[in-house]
Amino acid sequence: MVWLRRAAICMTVAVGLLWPGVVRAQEMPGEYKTVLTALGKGGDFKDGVLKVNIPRSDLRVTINQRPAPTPFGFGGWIALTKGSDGEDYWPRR
Amino acid sequence: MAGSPSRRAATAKIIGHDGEQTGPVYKITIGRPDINVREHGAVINARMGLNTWAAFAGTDADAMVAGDVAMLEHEVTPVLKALCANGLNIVAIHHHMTDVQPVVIFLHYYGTGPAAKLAAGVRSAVDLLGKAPSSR
Repeated sequence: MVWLRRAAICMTVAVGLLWPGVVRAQEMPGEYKTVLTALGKGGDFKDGVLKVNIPRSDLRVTINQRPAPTPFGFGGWIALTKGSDGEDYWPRR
Repeated sequence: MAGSPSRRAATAKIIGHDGEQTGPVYKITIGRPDINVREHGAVINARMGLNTWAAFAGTDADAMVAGDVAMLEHEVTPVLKALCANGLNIVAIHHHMTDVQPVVIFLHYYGTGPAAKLAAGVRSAVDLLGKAPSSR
């Protein structure tokens, strides 16, 4: 499953969106459950998007000597959604 | 604390959107439903990364904020000016999605100070989003 490998590749460690918080999950498609299993991560499915956060909670980041919490953007994430052709796509960020 | 119920409510009211508390951080995420971006036919919505966010931590008197603003090109300069005028530091300006129309540009910011002041600064930028270009 090429797209699964692509999904794993798309992890970005960048200042980005983290922690969407608790959301009301839709019924997660079975194939996305497979994605979570492959990644070994939890995630949620809402608005047609599978979202997996990969916080870098192993890091201790400071800004001007002040500790900055991980949800300030210190982590990666993966999102998958369906394109018009039924293939899965993830954002380039 | 910036994460107290009263502070969360105050921050949400100032910015005009509710957020989520995760540990010490209260984070507000705002989509751009006015921007219709697709990649390979896939709708790029807030959960796919097309969003503005603000994460608050610290205390009422000594808070910090970090976040991102998703902008159309004509919004970049007004947002820059608004954030700078409110003492928020511009950390980065960049693209995430390429070859999409309209062009979407992301701006990261960071600031410290009283929580209400930081929230007002974020609101000043949020208020500039989704408006038609002004004639200059």
